Amino acid sequence: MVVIDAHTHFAEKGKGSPPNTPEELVAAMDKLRIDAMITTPPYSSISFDRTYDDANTFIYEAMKKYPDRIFGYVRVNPHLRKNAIESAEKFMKMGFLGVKFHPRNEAVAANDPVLVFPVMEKVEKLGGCVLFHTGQPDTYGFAQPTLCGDVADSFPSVPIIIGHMGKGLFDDAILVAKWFDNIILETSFRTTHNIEKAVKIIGPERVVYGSDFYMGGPFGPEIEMMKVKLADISKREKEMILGDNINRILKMGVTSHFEED
Amino acid sequence: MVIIDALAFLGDTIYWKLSAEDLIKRMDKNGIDMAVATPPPPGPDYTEANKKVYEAVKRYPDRIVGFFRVNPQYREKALKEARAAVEEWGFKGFKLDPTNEAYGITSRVVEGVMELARELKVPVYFHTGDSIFSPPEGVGEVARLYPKVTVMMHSSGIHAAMSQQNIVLATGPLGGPRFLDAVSERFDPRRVVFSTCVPIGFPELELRIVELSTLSGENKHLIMGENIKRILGL
Repeated sequence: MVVIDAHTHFAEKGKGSPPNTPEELVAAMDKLRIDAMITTPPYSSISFDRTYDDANTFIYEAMKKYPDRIFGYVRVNPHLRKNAIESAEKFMKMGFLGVKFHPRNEAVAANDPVLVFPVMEKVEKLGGCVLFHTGQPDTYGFAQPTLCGDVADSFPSVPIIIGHMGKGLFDDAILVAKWFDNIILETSFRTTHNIEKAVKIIGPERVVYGSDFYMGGPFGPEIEMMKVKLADISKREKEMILGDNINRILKMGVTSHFEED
Repeated sequence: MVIIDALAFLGDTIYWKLSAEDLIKRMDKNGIDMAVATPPPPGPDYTEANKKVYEAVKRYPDRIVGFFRVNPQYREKALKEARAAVEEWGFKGFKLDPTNEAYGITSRVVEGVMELARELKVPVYFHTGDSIFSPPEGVGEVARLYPKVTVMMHSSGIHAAMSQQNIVLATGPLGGPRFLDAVSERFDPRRVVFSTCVPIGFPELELRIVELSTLSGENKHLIMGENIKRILGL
């Protein structure tokens, strides 16, 4: 069984919670029996690094050290326009799987045609994916699932991952996923029954396990994994959600690192 | 350590079924000594559903205690039944769900229930958090108006509970240990009670979250059972 955490954060000491080195991150993954994590800088661009160049480079160095364990989403600041497009292109050509947008923290609507769509065009051209932070009420006007649906409609070949399955707007996220085949639902902070509902309505193929590690604390990945394991769905469906789906969708090629229980 | 689940939904609904025996089985499986049971939504008339909880309490008096589910939209009928529930049938508190029954938590229909709770000295548990009918701030306002009544709500209402000493927070379902970690740092642990909301929540998950939290042994002892024992006089 392959376990991939599709939504995590990672940064150097002083800019994010531990783990702060590639070795510490891999040790944490080993302890949690997670084969791979897809990670992205944790903070908003106003905090340290307007361009995210340093933060993305830090993750790139970790990816180089552990290419079968650590994967990345490029974090961009859409307000920098040209820089955001160039940054997406540069880091995706270096091996990042796609782009992470945090519409609330960057104060930009997920479907902004001027600030987001040009970056989406680059992602589409390079064959990558996009992860959106979503939720309510904290992100209303910036990142409710319907706005991600507009992006999915406009870029049908790009896998659009709805982070946190819309939080309180999980019903909206599930419906948007029902309407657009390129929407993927990521499970962090949702309940077991929400996961069951998503599987019932859209099927198991586009639901992926994520924890938002380290935002949910050191045990977040275990708790979020437990929610999937407790769901009233088949063993095969759990395996798909815990790793096989994201492995297939993003062509990650991750293999199992641990003995089966 | 005594473990008491401060909120379980016992009975049949259009959404799920949980019999007294099912509840006891899940409690046994997870080492839970006692549970506070209340009828599940949607109602609106909970007369029969409350009877099922009453029967479950009669069958398992050392394992299940009842919170009487009140739909205050029924006005005098609701109040009459609620009084009998405590005075004659042994219910230990009231459960209200303004979202499900579609009334504002600060509207006048709630006043009669709160006055009755004050008179009978029983706590009132409010569902909160997912609609305009019952935001945590609204629960805070009701608690302010009735300072002698113990008002209970989900842990998401921690900010409202900070300034209102008669609010007790029920833990579950929890997303993770963050709330419990916050209790360790800045909230009175005597005003927190463990709850699972089974079958909406999963006892094994809620217990694991408590285990992974930074709560001290003493605070765990309080939160897992001693607080609700004190509040309900068990």
